[in-house]
Amino acid sequence: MNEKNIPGSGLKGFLSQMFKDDLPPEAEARMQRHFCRLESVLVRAEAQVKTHRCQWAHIMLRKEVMAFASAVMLIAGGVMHLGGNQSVLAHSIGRVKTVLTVSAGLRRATSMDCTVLKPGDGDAQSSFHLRWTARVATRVDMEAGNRGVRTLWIPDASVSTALYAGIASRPAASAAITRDVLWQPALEYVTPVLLARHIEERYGLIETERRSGDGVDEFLLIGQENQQVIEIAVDVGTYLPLTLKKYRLDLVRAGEERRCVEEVRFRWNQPIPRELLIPKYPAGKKPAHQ
Amino acid sequence: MSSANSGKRILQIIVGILVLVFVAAGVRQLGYPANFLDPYGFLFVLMSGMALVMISFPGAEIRRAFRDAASPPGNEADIGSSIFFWEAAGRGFWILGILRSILNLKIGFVALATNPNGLQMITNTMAQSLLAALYGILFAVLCFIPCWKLMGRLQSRPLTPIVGQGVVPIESPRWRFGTVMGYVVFASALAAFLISAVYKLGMPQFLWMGYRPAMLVVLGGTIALMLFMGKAGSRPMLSTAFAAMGFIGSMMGCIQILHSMTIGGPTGIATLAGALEFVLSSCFTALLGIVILGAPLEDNAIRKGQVPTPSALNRMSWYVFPLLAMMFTVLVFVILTTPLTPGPH
Repeated sequence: MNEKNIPGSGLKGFLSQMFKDDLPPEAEARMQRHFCRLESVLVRAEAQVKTHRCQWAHIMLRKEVMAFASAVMLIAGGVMHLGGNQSVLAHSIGRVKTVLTVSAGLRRATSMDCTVLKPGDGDAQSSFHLRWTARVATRVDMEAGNRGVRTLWIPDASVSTALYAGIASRPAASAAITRDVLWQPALEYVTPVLLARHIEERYGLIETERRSGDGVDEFLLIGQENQQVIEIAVDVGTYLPLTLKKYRLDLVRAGEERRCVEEVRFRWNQPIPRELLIPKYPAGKKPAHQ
Repeated sequence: MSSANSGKRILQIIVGILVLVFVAAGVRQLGYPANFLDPYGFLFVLMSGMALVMISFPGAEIRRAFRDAASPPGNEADIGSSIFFWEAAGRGFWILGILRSILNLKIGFVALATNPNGLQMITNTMAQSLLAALYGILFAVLCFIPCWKLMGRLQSRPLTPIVGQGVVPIESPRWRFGTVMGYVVFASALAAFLISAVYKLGMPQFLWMGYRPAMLVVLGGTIALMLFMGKAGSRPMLSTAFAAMGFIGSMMGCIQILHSMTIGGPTGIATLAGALEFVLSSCFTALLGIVILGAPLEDNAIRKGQVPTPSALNRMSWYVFPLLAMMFTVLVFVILTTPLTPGPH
């Protein structure tokens, strides 16, 4: 339709004549509400499309990040674990296991032959030779200074029923033996079970270190007791102690040369002649308490 | 009718008294009854269990569950909701008891190694660590009693058409105050325990409780599993993923334990120690994940009506995996206390 053919003053005038703005106010308000609703629906739909796009992008990004993070965590965990990276807990578990294994090895031992060397001032060195066989007895030979060799038999591995047979082969009360300072270094190693108890309860072994080469394959247990550092070298194959050394803690701390105050050498599960473990009493010297 | 009821009641009381007398006599016969007291473990399980309930349920639902347990319940939707509440509470205590046991055992092992006289206490350490599991089981049973009672009531009711019932108001995803408070209480209970243990042991590095490799493997694996599963049936499966990874980690540790037994000396013992820790830490991380992330998420989905009930897999991860974790803990203790056999020489 051509604007020129329309009577009046143009299209606007024509439309205003045809659709007069004479709606009642209620109808106008209702129409307005419909328009508003339509507008809001259109805006919401547009926003939803945008939001969906953002969510997808977000999810995609998050999934990628999460996949990457999980891969990194799995690889890092595997590498750290296989790399032998030990925590405090693993270290503690290792220590407990080591001590328990060594003490169990001691409890399983059938015989023990050990030498305790206790250097003193000058020539005053004392040495003890202990021989023990399971369910028989322990024999301790002590050599201190110029006093000659004294022998102690402990039947059934019990100090309470000990016989004292010195140079004069005289019986003595067990309490006297346990109080005798001279015998003290040896009484600590009278039986493997006693040594196992010391390892579990007294030495407080806290470090392990492996030494190998030159035919030696052992690991060290290091602990402390009564101001002394205790080092026990344990055979890797048998979990039985090879040597036990005690050092003075104050000298170790001062960085001075370590001076061994006691050294014990062990030999395990070697046959010990039975007659060595049975005391020979001189005539008329049988112990009164047996 | 009432006299018959009162007679039955009196009989019940007499039987109860007799049972108590027998138990007391048994305890007396023991001579040295076992020490069942671990006040800190008890408090931890109780507080953390309450915190988990606060995380998963709003105050109104908690009150309604207590009301339903005490008095005849209202409509079926309410009963269903209360049943779920009591089940979730029992589940929380059950998992927390075992979580605390593992934590106790870890700290106990460190104490054994640092204390010179520690090895005398090795069996006591295990017994003390299991006490927390016992408390957890006791609390769980206490929570399951109303759950079972309500289930019985629900089953005994005649089927009625549900009109206006079961419509669970859908909440906005924002965090409730109770949830935040629950997490705060749980974190406080855990931190209080860890800090006191660290203070006692004098080992600040022990605050980093989770063994990093195990933690990384379990967390990484859980994320990977969740990504693989996607939104399977719109059901959250985080607990299942945690449990699966915890189990996988434990099995890896067990295989390493067997392998380490063929290696001698300190290297073998170090490998064994690493494996034992891997088992413990895998179980610990998985249980912690289930407790603080998996279970609340799934509870939320059930409360909002997204899923009707917990799935069988979720239930397995809530009940079977902690049991497995406890068995792994006992296995770790047995392996630790069993001395290695010396090799041929």
